[in-house]
Amino acid sequence: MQELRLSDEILMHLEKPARYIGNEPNMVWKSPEEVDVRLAVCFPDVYEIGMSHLGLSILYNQVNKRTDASCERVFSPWPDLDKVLREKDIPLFALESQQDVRSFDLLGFTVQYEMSYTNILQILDLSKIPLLASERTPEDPVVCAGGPCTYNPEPLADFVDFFYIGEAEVAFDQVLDLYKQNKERGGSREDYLVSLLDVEGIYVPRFYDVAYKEDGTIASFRPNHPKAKSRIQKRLVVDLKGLDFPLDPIVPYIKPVHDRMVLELFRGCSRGCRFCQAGMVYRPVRNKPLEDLAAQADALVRNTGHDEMSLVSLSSSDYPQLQPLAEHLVDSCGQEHVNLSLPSLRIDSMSLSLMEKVQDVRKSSLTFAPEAGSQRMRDVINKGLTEEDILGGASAAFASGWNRVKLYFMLGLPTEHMEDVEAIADLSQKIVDCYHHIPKEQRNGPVSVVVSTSFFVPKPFTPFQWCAQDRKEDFLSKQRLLNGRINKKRIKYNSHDAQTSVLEGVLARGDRRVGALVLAAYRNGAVFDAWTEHFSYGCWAKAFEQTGLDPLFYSARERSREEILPWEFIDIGVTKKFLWEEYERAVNAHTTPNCMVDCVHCGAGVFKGGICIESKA
Amino acid sequence: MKARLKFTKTGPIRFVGHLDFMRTLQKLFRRAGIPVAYSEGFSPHQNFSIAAPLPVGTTSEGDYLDMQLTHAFDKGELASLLAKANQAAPPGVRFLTARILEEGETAGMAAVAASSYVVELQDSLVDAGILQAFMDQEQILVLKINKKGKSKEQDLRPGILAFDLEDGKLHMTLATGSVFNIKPETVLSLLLEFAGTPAGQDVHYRVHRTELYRQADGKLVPL
Repeated sequence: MQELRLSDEILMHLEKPARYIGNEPNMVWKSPEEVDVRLAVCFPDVYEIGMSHLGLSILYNQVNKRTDASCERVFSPWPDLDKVLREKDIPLFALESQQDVRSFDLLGFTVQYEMSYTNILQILDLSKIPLLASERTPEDPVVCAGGPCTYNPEPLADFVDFFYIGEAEVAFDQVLDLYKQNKERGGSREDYLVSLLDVEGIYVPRFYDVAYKEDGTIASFRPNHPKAKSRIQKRLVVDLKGLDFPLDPIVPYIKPVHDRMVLELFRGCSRGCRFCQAGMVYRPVRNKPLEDLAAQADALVRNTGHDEMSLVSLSSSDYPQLQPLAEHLVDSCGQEHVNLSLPSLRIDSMSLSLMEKVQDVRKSSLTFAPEAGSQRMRDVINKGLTEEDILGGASAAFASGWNRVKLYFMLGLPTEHMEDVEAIADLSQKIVDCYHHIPKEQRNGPVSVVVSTSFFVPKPFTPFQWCAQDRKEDFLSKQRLLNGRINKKRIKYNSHDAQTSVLEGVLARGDRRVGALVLAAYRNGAVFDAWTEHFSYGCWAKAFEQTGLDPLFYSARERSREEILPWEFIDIGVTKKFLWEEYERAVNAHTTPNCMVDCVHCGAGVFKGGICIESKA
Repeated sequence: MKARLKFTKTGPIRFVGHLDFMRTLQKLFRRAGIPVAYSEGFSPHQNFSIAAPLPVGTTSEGDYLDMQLTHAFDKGELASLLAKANQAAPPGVRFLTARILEEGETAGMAAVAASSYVVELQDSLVDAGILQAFMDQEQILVLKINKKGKSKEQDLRPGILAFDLEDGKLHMTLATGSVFNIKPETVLSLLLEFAGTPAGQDVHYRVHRTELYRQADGKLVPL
């Protein structure tokens, strides 16, 4: 057991002291003396969020399997502790050894959402590591980052020494090996970064220069080091069969947002929704074998003691062996008093009969994500869902006893007109009507429909990466229109914050200059921007003024086919040509078949794996 | 069949509050394969209860829980159950003893009558003389505010069953339970006030529970 870094007096005054004490069941602790490389992995948000993230658990497992390396965890101190650390000048520490983050060899961030960027700076700052990569000394850890947001690494390029693009399983061990070799050779920080240029998937920003045109767009993006590749290809596990998976993950003492075991069914998604970055960057779809999953599920139950298991993937219904897997799990979990949760299911008769088996129908609510109200709009985004599918699913669910439904939509999708917005209210009302069509005696109390809208944020590596994002005023007028049209008697309406969505748009498609904006915003006090109660647009508005950057240049500007996009030196497999064709089809409301139906030669076939090489059923 | 387990909660896990600690125990029992019975109904939960929840920050080497087992156990099986539980326990949690409860024996939560604590004060703010004078008081009155917001005087003196100073640490045995319940922190602040420690002074201390007791034939015996 480690001595705790914080005194009892400090801990007793914190809202949740258990966030900072480590020592949870299945934690791996290694003495710093017994290993050659020490990595601190950081999810830049509060403990309960970070501990719900599968990627972190995968990396923790992977690194700690090595006898020569250790991996410890770091999370954002909540504002109550943040204040104490600054006042008392206590450097931030990792949970396992309770030692300074600054004493580690490497500090790795997983970047899951744009609104966590200022928290990365908070972590560096509290760790007393210079925020700018260019100002770090040999005493500072080498700072790296990965995760979905790093497919456009540029807004973070000033702060990160190197990025790892893609799945950690493939080459992260090599990253550690090179560190160890460089250390043994007595090499410098710079030597290490140069050695990383040999590894596919590694992007070291300092070895690239960007020049801009007068209009603010990129004139050129070029390596300034002979070894630096002009294109960085993402890394991906081609075959998931037998892939190592964390079977004894840490079991937190306090309740994380997802307090359960997770079983990963597959990676990638074959649907091809045009707004979805995950659907493009994780291509191709690669399924895990049923036998692997069944064995993993049994081990997880034994090793964690959790009472809930969740199946994760981008679209669980698309797992080819969902039925036999669910049957196995219902059987084995039932004996162990484990509940099964099945998110990301398409609502149809098969999934409903499955859910009836595993959930208490009277208590659970069903989630539909039509994303758009009108059929035209759903065709623009290639959702692959007709009104018939949606209403059929709702009717079947109501007939089976469900009476609570959540509906997710986006406002501000490309080509959206006011009638598309009104169609959201109309579709929601039709779902309410479906309930009233079943005989009164079969109804399970009054129906509850909750409609939530978010604002569309164009993301890199999607067909909409060239689109202009709606301005805040457009968002708000659409929101008002919808709010006025929804029948509030039966439907509850929730909406996201428009200002946050515009800022997310700036950060998502930002270039290297946006780094200065993030830094200025942090200096102005921005942190925990993903938390409504902590988000302060004032800090960002001031940062735009200080840096002279125009938010609309990044958010509301339509890009041309010829423009050099800040992220296009990264090669995700899916080609720019395919994305552009998809964009053209989108504006004409033409749909594209999904990978299970037909191959549309998106480019992901270059990896020669998964659905690209499997015969179509 | 019901069993009563005595356990410790020391080290960092002292900062895990009661409800989170209950969840931690549930997971521990599942990992260990302890045959604890589940309740009936739509969301069955493990049937066990802790005799006297510890506040956050307080450690213990004498806490108890009663659990309903799925089937009858003999002594040997009970010992192996204890070993399995210890194997799955996080740092600082040790299961010390287990005994089978007699048919109709009062549940731990209802039976607990007193607790003993050791309070470690960072500075020597009290001496034996002050402690003696404190205990020699006929009454130790505190204002208690009930749920309706009305205040009422209560005499704590009869509930302070023992109070000594040993090796600079305060040892106290206090009434515990639903009828009469005294917190060690309350007694400590009354003592400091009695000793003339200025109000508002930052006093650093650690509280450690050593044992829980029940009444048996007019005497206090460990739960």
